[in-house]
Amino acid sequence: MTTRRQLLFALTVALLICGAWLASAAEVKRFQIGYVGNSTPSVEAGYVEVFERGLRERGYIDGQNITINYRWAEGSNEKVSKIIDEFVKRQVDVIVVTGTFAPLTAKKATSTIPIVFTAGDPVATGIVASLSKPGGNLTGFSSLESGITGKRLELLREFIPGRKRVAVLANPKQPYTRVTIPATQAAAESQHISLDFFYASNRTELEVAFSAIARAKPDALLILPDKPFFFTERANILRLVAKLGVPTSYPFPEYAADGGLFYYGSYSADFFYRMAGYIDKIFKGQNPADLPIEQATRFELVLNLRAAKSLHIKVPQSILLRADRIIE
Amino acid sequence: MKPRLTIARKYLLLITGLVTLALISFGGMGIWFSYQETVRQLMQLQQEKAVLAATRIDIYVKNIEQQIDWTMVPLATSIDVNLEQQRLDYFKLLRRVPAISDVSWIDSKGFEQLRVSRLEMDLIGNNRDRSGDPAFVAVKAGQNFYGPVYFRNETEPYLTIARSAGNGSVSIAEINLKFIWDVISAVHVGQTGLAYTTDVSGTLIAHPNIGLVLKKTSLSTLHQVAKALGGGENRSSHVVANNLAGQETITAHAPIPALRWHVFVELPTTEAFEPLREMLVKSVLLLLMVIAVSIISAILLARQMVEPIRQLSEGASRIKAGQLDQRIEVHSGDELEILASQFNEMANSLHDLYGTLEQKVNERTTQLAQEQAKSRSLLTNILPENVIGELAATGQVQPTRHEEVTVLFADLVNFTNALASMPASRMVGELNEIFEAFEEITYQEGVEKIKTIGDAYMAAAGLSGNTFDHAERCTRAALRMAHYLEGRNQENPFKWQVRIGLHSGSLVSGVVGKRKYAFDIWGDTVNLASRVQSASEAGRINVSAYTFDLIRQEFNCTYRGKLSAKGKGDIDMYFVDSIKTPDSHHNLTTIK
Repeated sequence: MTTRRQLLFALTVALLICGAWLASAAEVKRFQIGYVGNSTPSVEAGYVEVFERGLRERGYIDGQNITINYRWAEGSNEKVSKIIDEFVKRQVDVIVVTGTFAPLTAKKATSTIPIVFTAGDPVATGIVASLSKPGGNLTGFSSLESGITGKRLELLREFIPGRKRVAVLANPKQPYTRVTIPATQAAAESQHISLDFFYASNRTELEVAFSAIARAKPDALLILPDKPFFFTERANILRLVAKLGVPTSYPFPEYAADGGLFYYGSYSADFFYRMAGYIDKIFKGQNPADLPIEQATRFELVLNLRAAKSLHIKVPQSILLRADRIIE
Repeated sequence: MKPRLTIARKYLLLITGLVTLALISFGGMGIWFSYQETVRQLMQLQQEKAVLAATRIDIYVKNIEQQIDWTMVPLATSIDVNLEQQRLDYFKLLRRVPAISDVSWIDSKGFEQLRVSRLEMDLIGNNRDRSGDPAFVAVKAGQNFYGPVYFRNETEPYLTIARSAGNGSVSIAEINLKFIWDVISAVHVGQTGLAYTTDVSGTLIAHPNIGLVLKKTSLSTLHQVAKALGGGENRSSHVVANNLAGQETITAHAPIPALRWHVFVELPTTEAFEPLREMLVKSVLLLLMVIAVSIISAILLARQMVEPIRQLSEGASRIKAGQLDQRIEVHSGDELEILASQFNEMANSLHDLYGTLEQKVNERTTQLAQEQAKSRSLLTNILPENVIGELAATGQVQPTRHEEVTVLFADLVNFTNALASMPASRMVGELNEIFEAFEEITYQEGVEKIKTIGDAYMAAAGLSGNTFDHAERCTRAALRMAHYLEGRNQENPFKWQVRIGLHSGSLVSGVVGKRKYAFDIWGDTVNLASRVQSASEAGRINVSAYTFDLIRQEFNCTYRGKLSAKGKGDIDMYFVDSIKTPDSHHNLTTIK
């Protein structure tokens, strides 16, 4: 009797082991996502949250069927390069990058690991050959920042009716500036605006640049988009602009939310939500080369009335009518 | 006998066959009808989805038109147009309608006076000549204008809508179709189905797979698209056809008349028919279950029906085997129970009948045995034991020659005189009593009584079995006979004397007669024995010399001399006086 019971027990255990083995064999491969954070977790917290939500809604849960490896460059181009090298070495399944510097660096680092990006003007900056047929191993979103530059200048001018001296702050180490500076110049020309360019690629240079801007006494300031540096130095730049005391156009919506006068453009957490869609398609076996690059569809004017008040400027009707988000 | 087809199997086949046939036919019909119904519902559902998507797009576009028209109201009423005011109105329009990326106002002469854009810098009073623009031309001709789908920067799909703005002026709006794509992709068609839109030429303008749209894929070769484009306006219908990927789908279609677009909704048949397959599987399973249940109940029913019959058959076979006390237990409450009870009654009667018969046979057998015993004992009285055996075995008795036999003759003295002096019945009674005693004596001594001849008693020893002491046995019997009579004479009023003679020698025995057997012995020895008796004296036992020679070791004898044996000359004779052994006297006295 006992031997029979023992036999039964042994059989059950064997079945359970077989079942567990089969189950583990059937378990889907856990995908590795390499997330290249330009700044710090606190600066990008909103994006990370939306990104994870986008993945979750498509059935990917960090720690279950995917692992998201977050690395933070804290505004440094060098760190971005290092993080990408690490991801390439670890052969993650997909690399997520934003801006222009990071996608270009990733493109150079690997031609096999799929890269999903959000970039200002991926064709003009050479990230991809074409929006409809990106080719290679990259796909993602174009936020149309370069086209928007003229629009930003137009809006900025409406804050300073009758005046036309605008200072432009750019990061010389940002490859995107090769596109944005000519675009700004062209727009300024058509609107009869005179531009002064100032450059900074680190904190020291930033202090120096703002001193120079203060000395130039411009009517307004246009900050060109730059990731990772300007993106990360938000608090610092806002502090310097406040000291300067001129109407300023910012390259990221968070600036306006944190006290900057206004932001106009398409950049939003929505890109991160939708990048999860590209990742899903890639995980399901589609070739990134065949995934057309989508363009920004929604444009947003974020206006900070507190900033306007502190600048003692009256916000014109044409701006108020267009403001999608007003911060008071 | 084993039946070719048992009743149980017959019932089983019948019930199962009928039930299965009924179930399969009804179940099959049910499945067929629900299949038809499900397909119809599926098709209708797809159709409704297509219509819904088309309606949504139509409403969406109509809403845009309405918004544009509202914006144009001030333009229509004021003659001197304030461009700055118009610009603010356009800003409001852009805020209200996110899909409009650009809007232009063309004056009645065809010159663009204002352009407001989300992406580009606004233009005010630029006076660009757009009089040749098909949008302007169409609106001037009194039509609403919907331009062809075009792509900005390769990947952004756009549509131009032109509306009359009053006073001959025209509003031209660029609509980002991605917002309509959102409408399309909001149409959920099962898990794997999708909705897409083509223009009037069959070119794809909206599809969840943007890549296909960007490639400007023409779907006019697809059966369902060709049918929709070629068919009448409202002949929107559903078909089962292969999609672009070659997958078989249920496709429904609905037109958007204003835009002359067509919305298609497709669902792969693999998914669409999934619930149908499930239903089919469930129905078949249910059918199988019901069939199984019916088979089981048929088996039970058949068993229940057949069980009493089996019991009857078993009972009958036991009765056949002779177990008449067997009773058949059937409690089915039907005709079979009645049959069983009748069977039992029959067995009962049989049992009784058999019992009586047996009793009678027993009685007869006992009687027969008694009769046999009686006749055998009668026969024994007549014939010697071994002769009876021979007679019983062969039906006859062969005459036998015996070399060594002693023959005894006992004759009652003066019998003829006595016969005259007493009644005949008393005479026979006396004779019978004496001869019975003689018979008992001869029997005890192993001497065969042969017969009585008048008052003479004839016996012989040595006819059967051991014969070596035949002479002694005869002598002993003779002494006891004489002794018996001595004793009898002391009590009995009639006194009898017996004269006994013995002689030994060879003789022949045999049975004569057919209806009335008589065992007898013949030969000189018999005659001589009779002569020796005649030569004896009353109360004495006379033996021939030959017998004397055989018995003289045992008995005391007295020689009498040569006496005449009638017809046989003179022979030596002896009287037997007594037995030599002392106990023999005792033996003699025991005889009553």
